[in-house]
Amino acid sequence: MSKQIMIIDDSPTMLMSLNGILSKAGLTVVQARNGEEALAILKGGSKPDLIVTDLNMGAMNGIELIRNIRKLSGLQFTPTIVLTTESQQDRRTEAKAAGATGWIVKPVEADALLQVVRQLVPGA
Amino acid sequence: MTSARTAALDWRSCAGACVVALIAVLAAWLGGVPLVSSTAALILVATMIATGLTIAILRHFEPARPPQPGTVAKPLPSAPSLIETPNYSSEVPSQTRDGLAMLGRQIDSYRPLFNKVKVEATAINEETETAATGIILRLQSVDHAISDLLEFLASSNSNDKVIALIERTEAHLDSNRRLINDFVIRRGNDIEESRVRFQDIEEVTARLAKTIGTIRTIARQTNMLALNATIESARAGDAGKGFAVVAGEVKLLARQSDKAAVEISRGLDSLCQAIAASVDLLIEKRIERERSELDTISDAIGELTENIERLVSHQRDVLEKVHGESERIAQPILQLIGSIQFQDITRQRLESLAGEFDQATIHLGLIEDSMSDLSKGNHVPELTNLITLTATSRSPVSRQPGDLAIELF
Repeated sequence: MSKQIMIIDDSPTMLMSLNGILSKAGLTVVQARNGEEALAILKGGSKPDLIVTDLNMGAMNGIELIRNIRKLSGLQFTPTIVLTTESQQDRRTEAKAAGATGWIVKPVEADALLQVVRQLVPGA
Repeated sequence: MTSARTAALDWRSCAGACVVALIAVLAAWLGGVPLVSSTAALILVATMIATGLTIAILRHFEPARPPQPGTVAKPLPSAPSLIETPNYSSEVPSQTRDGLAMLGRQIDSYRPLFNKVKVEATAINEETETAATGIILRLQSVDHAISDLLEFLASSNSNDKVIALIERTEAHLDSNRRLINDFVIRRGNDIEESRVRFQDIEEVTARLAKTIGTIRTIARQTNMLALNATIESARAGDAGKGFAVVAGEVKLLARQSDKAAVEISRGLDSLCQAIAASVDLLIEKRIERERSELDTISDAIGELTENIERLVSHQRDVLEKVHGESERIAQPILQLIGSIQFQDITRQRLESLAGEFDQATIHLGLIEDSMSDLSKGNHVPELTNLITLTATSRSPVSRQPGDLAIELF
């Protein structure tokens, strides 16, 4: 059974790009266009093996989303990566404190992304 | 008065620089320079305009300070130092009010420009997003086609199927070649057998010839006996006349027997010659011809087998090439799909620029309000905050040297 990856981004282009890369690697991809939609999916029972979220996306940013995810049962330790154009250390520290597993600066190459996925999700 | 002239000069120089910059931007725009670059240039122009206007306004209200005798006039101090030491007059001359009104109209004329930049930035975002989506869809279409091809090659195992078919054909050809060789060998054995039988016939014929010789000898002896009997019958006179007739008949029979034996011998010779001729013509020569033809067929089969092997090898090479090339094409496509992320980065930067222009528009409004207050002789508080707001607003930050692109906590 293939591993499930949730991607959250308000950019349709990013969703398509990430979906293309991850699907090609045989992973099942669940998409959400913002934090609220992602939380609704997760509260609905979805248990992804890895979550990749954008940082700046409307009402709820990626760090707030991670804080909310960590409150959900069964998702306290799910690897969660922030994928953003931003690179400042203070934001990284903030994300880490919120429970993020890692930080990736856009654009990320397909091979590099898949390497991170395989590192965080054994068997992916 | 000196201060007023200086302010007017500053304004003219600032306005001139702005006009030149605007012309350059428009020329770049019309010349096909990407909109993003033109947008950045417009921001530069807007910043110059706002700064120039602010400095001009502040200098206008600076108290006149005559130059010291014997010294060269110093450059005007920077705007922040002027802001820190305002000295407003409670009564505003009409010339100043007119000047402020004129500056207000100039500031107002930049609002459509800022709005246009924002609209253009939004349009660029929409267009690049549509284009990026189209590119990804096309790339995915190509990727699916290649995947289908690779899957077909893998699942159909066509290469192995062709090889199996060719191997079966080769086995049939080998079988046929063996059958031909066996046939040639059998035909050779037939020839040998025919020769042995012919030798048997020759031996039987020789024995018959010997028997015929015996018959002829008997015939000659019988003839001699008949001659003796004729002589003896003549001596006997009339009594031997009857015996002479018998002797004559015996003699005639002996001659006929010899003649028959000679004819049988000739017939046997002719038969032997005819059989020998048949063996030579019908067996040896014909078999040789058949053998030659069969050798030709066998060689053709061998050549056909070699051609099939070459064909199989060629097809195997083609299939392997297709497989390899398909995989080689698929990898860059995946990279290209990932590279489309540039659109999201561009979008965020343009959105940030649009936000900057919103801020600039608000600031221009505040400057206009301040100028209005000034024209009425009212106090204008903390203009510096208006200028620094833009500089402190947040914008997307590109990765700096030393920053980790990927960091796992």
